[in-house]
Amino acid sequence: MKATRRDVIKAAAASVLVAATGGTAAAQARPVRVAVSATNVFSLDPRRSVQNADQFSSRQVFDALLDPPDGTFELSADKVVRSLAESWDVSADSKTWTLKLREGVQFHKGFGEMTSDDVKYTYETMLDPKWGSPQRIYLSDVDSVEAVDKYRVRFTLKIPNPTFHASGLISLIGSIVSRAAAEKSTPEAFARNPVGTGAYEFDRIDPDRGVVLKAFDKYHGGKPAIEQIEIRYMADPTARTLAFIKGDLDIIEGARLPGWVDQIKRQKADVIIDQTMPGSINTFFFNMGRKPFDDIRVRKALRYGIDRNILVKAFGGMAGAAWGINPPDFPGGFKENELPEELRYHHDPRKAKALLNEAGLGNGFKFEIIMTQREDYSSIMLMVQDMWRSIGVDMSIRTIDHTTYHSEKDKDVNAVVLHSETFAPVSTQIPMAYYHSAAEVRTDGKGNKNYSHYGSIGGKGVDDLLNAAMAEPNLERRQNLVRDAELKILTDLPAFTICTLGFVYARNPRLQLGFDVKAGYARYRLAKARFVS
Amino acid sequence: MGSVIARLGKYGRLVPAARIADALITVFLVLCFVFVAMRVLPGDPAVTALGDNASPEQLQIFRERFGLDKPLWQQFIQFFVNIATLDLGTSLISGQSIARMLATNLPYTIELSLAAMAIGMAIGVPTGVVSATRRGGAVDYAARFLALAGFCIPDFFLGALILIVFGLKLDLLPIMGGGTDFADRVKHLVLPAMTLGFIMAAFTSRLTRSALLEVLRRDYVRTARAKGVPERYVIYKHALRNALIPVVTGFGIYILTMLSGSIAIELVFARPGVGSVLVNAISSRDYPTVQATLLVFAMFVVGVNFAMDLIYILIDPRLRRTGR
Repeated sequence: MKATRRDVIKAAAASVLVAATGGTAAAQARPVRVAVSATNVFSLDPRRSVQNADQFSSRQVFDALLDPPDGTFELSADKVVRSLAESWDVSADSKTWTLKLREGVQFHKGFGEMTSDDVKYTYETMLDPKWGSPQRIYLSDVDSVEAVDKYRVRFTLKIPNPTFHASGLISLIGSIVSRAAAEKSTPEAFARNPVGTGAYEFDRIDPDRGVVLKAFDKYHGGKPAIEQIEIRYMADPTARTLAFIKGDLDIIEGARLPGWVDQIKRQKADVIIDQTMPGSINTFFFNMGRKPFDDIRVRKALRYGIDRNILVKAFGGMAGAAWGINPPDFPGGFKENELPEELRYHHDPRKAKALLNEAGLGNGFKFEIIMTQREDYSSIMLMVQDMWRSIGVDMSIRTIDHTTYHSEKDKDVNAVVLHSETFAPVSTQIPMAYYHSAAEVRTDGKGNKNYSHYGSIGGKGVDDLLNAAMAEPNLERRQNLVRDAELKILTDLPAFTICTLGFVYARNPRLQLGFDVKAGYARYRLAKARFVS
Repeated sequence: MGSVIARLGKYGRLVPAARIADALITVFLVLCFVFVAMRVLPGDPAVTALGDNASPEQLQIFRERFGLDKPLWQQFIQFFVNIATLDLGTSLISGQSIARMLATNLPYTIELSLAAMAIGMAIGVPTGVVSATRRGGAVDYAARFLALAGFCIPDFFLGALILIVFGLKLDLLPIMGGGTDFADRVKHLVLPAMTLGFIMAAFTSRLTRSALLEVLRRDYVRTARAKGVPERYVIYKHALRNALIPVVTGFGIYILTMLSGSIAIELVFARPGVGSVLVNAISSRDYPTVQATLLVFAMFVVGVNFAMDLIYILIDPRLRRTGR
């Protein structure tokens, strides 16, 4: 039978269709394309990780001893996921933690089975000051790490810590590296060619595609459905957003700017927005070593001058209100109705003006601060500037780059400091980092993040309460001591948590993660991800 | 540079040596400036590398490891010793070899610059010629308007505009990355090169127009016309060749401007390139990377100037005769 022209066209159209769809298998083989907000890889080794963008890769390459359930920040002992550690025992004084490791877990690239020796090595490098691990601060209570046998590790702490599983064994801190692989190369080389036990193994850093990861055949949780992940470094939020709208990217790190979520929803109605709440904790410090911020009436006036509802609304669901020092969703964190009325500090400009008048500043006052250009900081600060202007306080802002801001504010140069940081939901971490006199900022830059000088100036008794909390092995009593300290801090008002600000990602609706993102750090795992039609 | 060469110019054989000496002095001065500027700026690479939570002890260990605790003069000598031994060092932040980092990224910047230059010349020179020869006409006004637009629109804004129209709305070309194989790289190059090329075309067009108008008034052009030489011949053979000398000078200057433009374009189109390396290094106070990247830029600038000198000689026979 002779083929007609119509038959030929039909056959050609059919072959084009087959080629274009590529069958189901080809669609599943498509890589997940992610874009994070950074310009370059710093370190993919979790022990040396300081950049959120790198941590998106590290979370895929490394498994931790313990982890919150995917998409949550749930770290209570009964809910935390046993990942590399199968179980643990804690001594009655909460000072000795013995972990039983999962057997048969393989490292990538043929580096063999993970054992207690790898865990001991990972922690010992983090604890060694010469090694320069930024995670060391979270392990300040660790005295020693010992390999009891091939699958058993013992952590001995200097002080009791009933929440050590949540502060020292999770996420990046609990991510275990291969001793053999790390010792085979230099720390710098390992940071760009890491070996872990995660669902994806490191493949390469491509100048065009960023960090390329491939599915690990021998993953103890089963090989992931998607073969490859490409994590691109794109600092410009507009470039990321446009590439996402075009469909070139499946996940992008959002811009933590007022209006960003609404804007992307207008452009791509079916977009999925993942927010890891509470995200970063944004704290406002008054430098009590400077006038007029040494006056409690002025500090209170400035607090009453801020409308937290406006801030929360402006960020369109990214931000959350905080009432105490710890966010309300942290264990032991104060909710609004748990606080006495006078410590809730609702927006009250009239009261603010009256307090300023009482402090002899009825005509207002002026001061200047330096501020980073980073969008989340500057957005909050500009809104506060506007609110304070309405009560007669003129804060002028000199904008500088983010690196300079961090190094300058740590030299005690600002009268008012805004600081943003992410914490695990452990009640002692924020008060110890910001309100204990041992963390006082110093002009030589060698101090810490108590930018108020609280404890050295005012705050009598708070150090004692926090010390008692740190020494308390019972979790409930510990949280109660922290709450007592929080009430005292809220009364003295050396600083306050202005809002939480979640990390936000936009996701292709065809890409299912296998869980809903509700809370957690600024990264999530793609081990269970798959494309659906 | 010009003055030294001018003085030595009559000793023709010494000219290349003088130019090289000039180039070395220029690069040396640039590096001195960069060295001092980076260290005068506030900000600490140790804090960037180790994070905000690093202890003072850790920061000190980091500074000692990279020699940042040494007196400035010692760091300065070490810096030039390293350059003299062609050792660009490693990044303070990522620990990666800077030479490798530049080798990976430089091809992307070079291909973007070359493509933009080609587009700029291909559009700018003919437009300038047409605009000059049809002065006061509709074509001239249109060309002048476009040239003015090219001058006024910032490169990053034009880049975003081109990206939205051609990449997003019309979906003709990719809008991010640098591409993989040859064909893919060409596709990824079109929109960024168009952006920079359009701005360069605006610049070249205006320069060509004004230079050509100037030349067309000269006596020899009038003579050629009086002798009955065809107009096309008059313009392209007699006038344009002379008009190109200021164009080449301006072109050399513009290439330097384009380098800074390429930094913005690399960010807008998320392209790999030396510009992104530089921006990242400056923001993280990665001194060795900034110094090495600017060394490359400085050498590029010196190289372009050198090339421009050679092109003058090719265009202008008088320079060949005098050796200047």
